[in-house]
Amino acid sequence: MASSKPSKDAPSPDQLPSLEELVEVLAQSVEEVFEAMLITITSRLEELDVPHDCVDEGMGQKEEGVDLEVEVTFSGALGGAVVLRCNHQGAEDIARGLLMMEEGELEFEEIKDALGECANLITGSMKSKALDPIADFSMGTPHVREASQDSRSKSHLAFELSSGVMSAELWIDDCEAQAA
Amino acid sequence: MNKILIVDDSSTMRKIIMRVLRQAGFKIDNIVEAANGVEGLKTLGENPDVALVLSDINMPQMDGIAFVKAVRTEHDKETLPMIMISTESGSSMVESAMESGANGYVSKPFTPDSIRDVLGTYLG
Repeated sequence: MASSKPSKDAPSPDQLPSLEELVEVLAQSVEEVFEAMLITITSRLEELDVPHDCVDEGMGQKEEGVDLEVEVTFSGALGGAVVLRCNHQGAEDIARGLLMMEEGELEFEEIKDALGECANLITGSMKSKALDPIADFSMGTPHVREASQDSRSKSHLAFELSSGVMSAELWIDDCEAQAA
Repeated sequence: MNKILIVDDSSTMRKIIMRVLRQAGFKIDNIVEAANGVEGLKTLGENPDVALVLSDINMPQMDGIAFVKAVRTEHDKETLPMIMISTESGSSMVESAMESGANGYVSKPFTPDSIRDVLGTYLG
């Protein structure tokens, strides 16, 4: 990418937002994007382990469907990724909100694409608020995949949606502990 | 006749843009779509009556910045209004897009009002 303007000077470590600050901004970004895209957040959950909890917490027999996760990386003075994980009902809630389709059949590819765009919006919002004012950062394109049973982890950003659930995680490169 | 070219790798976002344009009250007689800059150039060639382009910045194969440059230079369309749509408002990528010849940008997520404000200059 060509730019005639000089890039911002590399920030010192104390200029970078802390993990906690980034997680707070991530939570704000989720809520703002969902409000703008008419996706209902029924409640914040203390913790959620998608997709495991969807079966264990008595959310009903796991219906036919695929639990999804989407990752959007960011890089610059700080590198990492935002990962959203949904059970299949949560992914459908998100797709219906973005596409404004309260009823009707959704194709699996439509759901995946909508989830990717949702993650794109959330990561972009977080980046604009917390990272762009400090230094030059760039974002990757969303990668949507089936939620991994092996790599599931506790997340403190967890949301109950209209029919399903979603967790939002922030991964920072070279960080010993997962942020959220 | 206001024909608009929407260039975005997300089919979801293309649908959202179409919906918002109609909600904003624009008379869109015809909308054509492309999933990246390469397809955008091809679609532009096939539709010389496009009156305005809405393009994402972060796309595979050819990003929005390269797309704007190509439209301005290779396709010799210096006066075609090109508006960038991006999550990256205020970032260096938006600055680069403007320097490459874009006329303006709209931040995602956007509302009918924000679209109306930017596009009102170019479309009736």
